[in-house]
Amino acid sequence: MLTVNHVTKTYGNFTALEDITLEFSQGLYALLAPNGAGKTTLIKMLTTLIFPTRGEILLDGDEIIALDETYREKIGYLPQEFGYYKNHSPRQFLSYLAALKGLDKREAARKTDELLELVSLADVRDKKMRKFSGGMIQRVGIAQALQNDPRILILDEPTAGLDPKERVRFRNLISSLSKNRIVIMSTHIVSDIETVANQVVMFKDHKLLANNTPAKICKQLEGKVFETDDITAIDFAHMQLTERNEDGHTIVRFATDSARGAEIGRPVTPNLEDVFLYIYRDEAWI
Amino acid sequence: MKKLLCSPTLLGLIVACLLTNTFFSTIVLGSADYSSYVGNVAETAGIRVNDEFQNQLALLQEPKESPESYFLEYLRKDTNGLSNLYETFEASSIAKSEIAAYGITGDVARLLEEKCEALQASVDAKAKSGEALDLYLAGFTTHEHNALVFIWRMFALEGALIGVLMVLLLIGYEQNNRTAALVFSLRKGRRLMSAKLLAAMAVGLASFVLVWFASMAIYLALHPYLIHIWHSSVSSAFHIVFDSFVFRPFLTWDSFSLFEYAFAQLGISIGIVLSVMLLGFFIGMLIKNNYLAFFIFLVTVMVLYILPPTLASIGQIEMSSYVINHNPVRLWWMQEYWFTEGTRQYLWPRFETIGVASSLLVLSLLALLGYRHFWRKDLA
Repeated sequence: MLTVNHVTKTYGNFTALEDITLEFSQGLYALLAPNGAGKTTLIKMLTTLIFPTRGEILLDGDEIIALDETYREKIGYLPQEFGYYKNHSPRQFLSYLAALKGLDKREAARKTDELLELVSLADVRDKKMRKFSGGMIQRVGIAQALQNDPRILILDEPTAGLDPKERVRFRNLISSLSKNRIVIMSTHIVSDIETVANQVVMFKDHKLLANNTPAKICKQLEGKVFETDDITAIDFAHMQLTERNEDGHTIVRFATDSARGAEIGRPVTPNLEDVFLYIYRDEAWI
Repeated sequence: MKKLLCSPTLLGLIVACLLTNTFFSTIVLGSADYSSYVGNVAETAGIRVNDEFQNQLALLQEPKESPESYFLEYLRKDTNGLSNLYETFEASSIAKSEIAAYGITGDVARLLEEKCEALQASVDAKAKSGEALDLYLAGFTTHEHNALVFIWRMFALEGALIGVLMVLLLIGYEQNNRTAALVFSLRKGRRLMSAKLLAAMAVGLASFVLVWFASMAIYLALHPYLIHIWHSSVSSAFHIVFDSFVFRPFLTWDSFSLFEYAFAQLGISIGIVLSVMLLGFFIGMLIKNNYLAFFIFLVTVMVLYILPPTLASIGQIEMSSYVINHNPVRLWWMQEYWFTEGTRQYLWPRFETIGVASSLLVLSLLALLGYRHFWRKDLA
């Protein structure tokens, strides 16, 4: 079990994360928050790139800083900004990273081929990466994160740059990987995790706001989300969520605490996107 | 290491150094004609000015009014009556002249005297070996020797610059390629820095040695007469130093031929280049930005240069200035005095050896501290 125990991270007077306590066991954990909320800070602490100002992070009761390389050999990490050596081919790059992960050379070569196949890059395995698209680079990143068959897989905005087809494939892959390991995935794209996350962790104002299953998180908006095709008719406090076109009409989804919501709109089941927009609203209610 | 060896920056730097050294090798040709003549004479008459040499010189004939006839005349004048000056030389006179010229008192004066007293054994050895009678380049020995030291000082400067740039280039490589977050999260990621230092030191050192030998080859091609006096002692009576308002011989602790002295210079230069690379590594471990790290490095170099004289001007901590004067930057600056008693700026014998050894030790410790700091440093 990976435990984040009252962790605070400050930079001078700025508090990036304040008193965060979390527990990760097997499954997919989605860190869901807008940019700047502290997701990447937590991830960098989980990957020992930065260290907590206060508090501790424990793996099976041992502090990860003390575990050092013993901890790092158990993690796979895809950073938000995945840099690479432009003159390397995916195979060369993965071989280099395998050496830094301390993997056996022969085993690493076998695993590299297998992973490049998995992320559909087998046919370009020996091509220099300088001409790769963003999606291809991201797939190289996903492959390297899986190289050491990590017990803890940490992915920071992993779907950035992927096309819809790749996104679905990735989602399925992550879902299957999370069956026997801890997968921690940071995103602000709700659809990436809505159907696959076992647990959603939300931050607001650099503090932990929620840590629950998607269903339970959505439940907090139950009875407060409605749809209407006449938004102008609403004369009470509400928050507009999303819009969609249906049979030539613009259907507006809105949230309200008012009992009159049901008079104007049709009650709908809240989804994670509704909760996200509701929690991270930056405008006053109309 | 492969990354460095394939780096166009390294190739560009090496080529730039060779071009610079070729340029400077060309412009220090002040006394080439006479020196060349002396070198040619040395080839036939030998490098020791003794009776046999004088006999050979007496037999030499040059066409009248030719430049060679003047050179022969100069050489006869230069070598006529040359005495083994170390037979009567008192090393303590060096300290005495320094103490008198600069009004030095107290412990500093005492240590200067002790240092020069210790040098007397070398003077006696030189008196026995008669190396004062070595021809070197006769009347132009000092000029030519200074030109050589200038060139060696250039080499050391270039070596240090290449070295520190290699260190900073390599330790900033992940930052520049935006791979830092990925690489340093890997099991051996942070450990990579020690490997990078070793690789940079190997490549930096190899580059320096390459530039040194290639540049020396160019220098010797432009000054081929040096080959003939290669085995002359650098403490020849023709090699004079002007220090503390008096002229005195270039007195080394050990006896060096020019050939040996060149390699001794290379040895100390290697120590300085390595020291500077360790300093660069230490700064690079503390500062993430490569350009800022290089700027801080330059500032540190300036501080190391001006600190000893500044401290010396403050009476109470005068002694510390003599200790800090053994830093690699000051050592580099004092290159022309390496293997001598080192003038009044150094109070202890063999300042260059002590300086390089202590610099390597202190900077290795600093590099280790920097590395340990990096191990626990926020990297993003």
